[in-house]
Amino acid sequence: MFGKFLISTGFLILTAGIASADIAVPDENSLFQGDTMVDTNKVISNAIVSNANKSGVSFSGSIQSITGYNMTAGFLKGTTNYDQNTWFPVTEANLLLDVRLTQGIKAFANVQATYIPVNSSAAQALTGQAASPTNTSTSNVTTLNLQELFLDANINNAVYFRAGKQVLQWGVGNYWSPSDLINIQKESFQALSGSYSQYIEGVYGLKAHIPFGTSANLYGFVNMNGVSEPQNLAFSGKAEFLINPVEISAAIWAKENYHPVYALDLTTRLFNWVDFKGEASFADSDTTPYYSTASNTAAGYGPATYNPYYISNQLVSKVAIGFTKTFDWELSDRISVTVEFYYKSDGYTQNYLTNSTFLNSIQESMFTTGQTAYTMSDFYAYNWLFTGSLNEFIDQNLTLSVTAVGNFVDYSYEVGSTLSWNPVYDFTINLSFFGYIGDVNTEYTVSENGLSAVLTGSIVF
Amino acid sequence: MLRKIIGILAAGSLFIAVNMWAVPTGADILKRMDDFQDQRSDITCKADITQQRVGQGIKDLQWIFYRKDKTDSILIVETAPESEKGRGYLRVENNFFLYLPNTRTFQTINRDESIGGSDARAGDFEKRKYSELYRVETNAQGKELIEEVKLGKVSAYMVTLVGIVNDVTYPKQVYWLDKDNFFQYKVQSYSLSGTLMQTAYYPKWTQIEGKFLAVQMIFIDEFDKGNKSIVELSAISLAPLEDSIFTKAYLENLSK
Repeated sequence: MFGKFLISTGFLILTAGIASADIAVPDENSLFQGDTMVDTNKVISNAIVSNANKSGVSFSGSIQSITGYNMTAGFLKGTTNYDQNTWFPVTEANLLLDVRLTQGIKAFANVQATYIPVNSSAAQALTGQAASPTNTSTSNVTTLNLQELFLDANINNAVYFRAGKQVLQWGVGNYWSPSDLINIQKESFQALSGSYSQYIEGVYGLKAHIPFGTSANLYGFVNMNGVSEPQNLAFSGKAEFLINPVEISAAIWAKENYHPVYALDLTTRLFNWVDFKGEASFADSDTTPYYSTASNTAAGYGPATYNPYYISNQLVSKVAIGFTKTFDWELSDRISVTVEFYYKSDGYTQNYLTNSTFLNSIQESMFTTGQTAYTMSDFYAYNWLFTGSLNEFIDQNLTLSVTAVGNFVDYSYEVGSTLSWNPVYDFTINLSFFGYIGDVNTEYTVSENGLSAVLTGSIVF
Repeated sequence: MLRKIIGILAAGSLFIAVNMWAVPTGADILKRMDDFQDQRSDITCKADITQQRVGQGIKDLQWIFYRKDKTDSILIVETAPESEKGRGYLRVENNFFLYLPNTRTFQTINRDESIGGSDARAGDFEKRKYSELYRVETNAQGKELIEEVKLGKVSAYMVTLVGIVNDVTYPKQVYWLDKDNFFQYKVQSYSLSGTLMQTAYYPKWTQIEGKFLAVQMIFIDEFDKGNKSIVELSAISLAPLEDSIFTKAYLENLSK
């Protein structure tokens, strides 16, 4: 009751504050009553204005509260009660520090604090924080993580350096990005659907960027993440060219004792009608453990345990292509639609998740090694994604988005819908529903997922 | 709104004063507007924007604009509020990029895509002549609709332009142009269905190095009633700009 009182009172105060604020614009006769010329000295500057030459320290950030409730497929069918359902409350804050000197020299930090009042694996999966095996299900989890921490400097605006933990996102895909050879954390499907905002965790290293206008860019990155000896450094290079109207890039990743990975990406406009993004990576190995399915017996179920192995000396290709089209509806680009397809040559082409031995093997592998052959949306050879959004849905401060991801192997999919409301500037409330649809033990139903509801409130400052 | 600001800064509304002694024809008006677009210069300035959306309140924004004439390049970077600092747009010739600091990615923007959710489209930044996009509307007798009117104390020509190509942002626009020097004092923009979408006012102007520039702009959203923005330009410089400003690396470095 008291909570309701606080909420309603706060809302009334907030609403009153908004209602009283109004930009005063004189009527047009008043606007043009006086002299229309302004003294030049009041608006002219002898120096070129720039925040590149403005030193200072500033803070900004965001706080978001995420509360979700997962319902199992059994609960939705009425075969189990609600005790199998889980809820996942998370509060996450990001504090961004920007320290700027002159000549483009600056430092930046993004510190993320996460508080989870229960040791919920769903919450940890959502935030990317590792599960804590020492905590019981009733223990809370507080984590502090540096998402980014880096220094910037340049040589005469010709060569730019960034040293430290940084997000360096290569690749052009909306969801799948096989040519992103650097990042270790990917954007989640829930974040893509707009359910909550996600800061990707950076990778420690040194980046160099040499621009040649906008017609070409050369990038180099030395990955020092977890490297204790210099011979274990990983090197990446990328050359990017703009040949109007096509932007194309080629990249390579190399590390001692590892097979190199080559990548290409391309963006352009097709038929002057739809945006196209495509990217591909090629290597003769893969870092994802693979479980052989060749040993299955005629009965369908082979050995007691499937052993993982890593593909080597075999071409592994991964290709993602996407198309985006926006539509006007009274307003510019009010409707946006994207479809994306993803192929990985070493993805499974049959549903082995119905094989309990196979399923147990990859689940055990995940808990013992932290690596798994099963990652949702990155398991099968053939995959698809759809995203659509409608701005000013019902109200000018409301956005509706629908997102779905699935495969062409067992034909299961996850579909999400998010209503995003901005009642005041810099404050957003999102309500999302995610449904997991498919036969039992398919890619998107393997964890007995049924339906999730997620409510997020966030402010930025 | 952004489209209009760009119109002022980038599409070359650095007007040379022109005196007109007689009521001009539609062709005269379109030619004058095209001539004005050719009066170009490097320019840098700060834009302070006070924006009001119904229900959301008032927000103060600040952008820095850079434009280099020789390479037809534009850089726009948001510098306030702190939460949006660093988002920026880079355009060189017909290539348009948006930088998103949160994801550290550049997105390519195509010519019919809006810029920052505004009514500006990437295509608006192209050097296209009014006379190739519009004609002056005529009445049933074929007479061009050009009227001499008063706007406050200002004497103006009111002229209605209708699109002659499909890819104009607004198929119909009504301009109130100063009778003496052709300043745009007021512009009303209509959608294809004839709905009034926006009214823009340009009540304050200044003269720099013999060229005229609107330094205050007011945009009234007629579709979402109650939304409005006031833009004021300051720290204007016409000093030449370095090529090195117009790169992805420079924009990323400006961002947080």
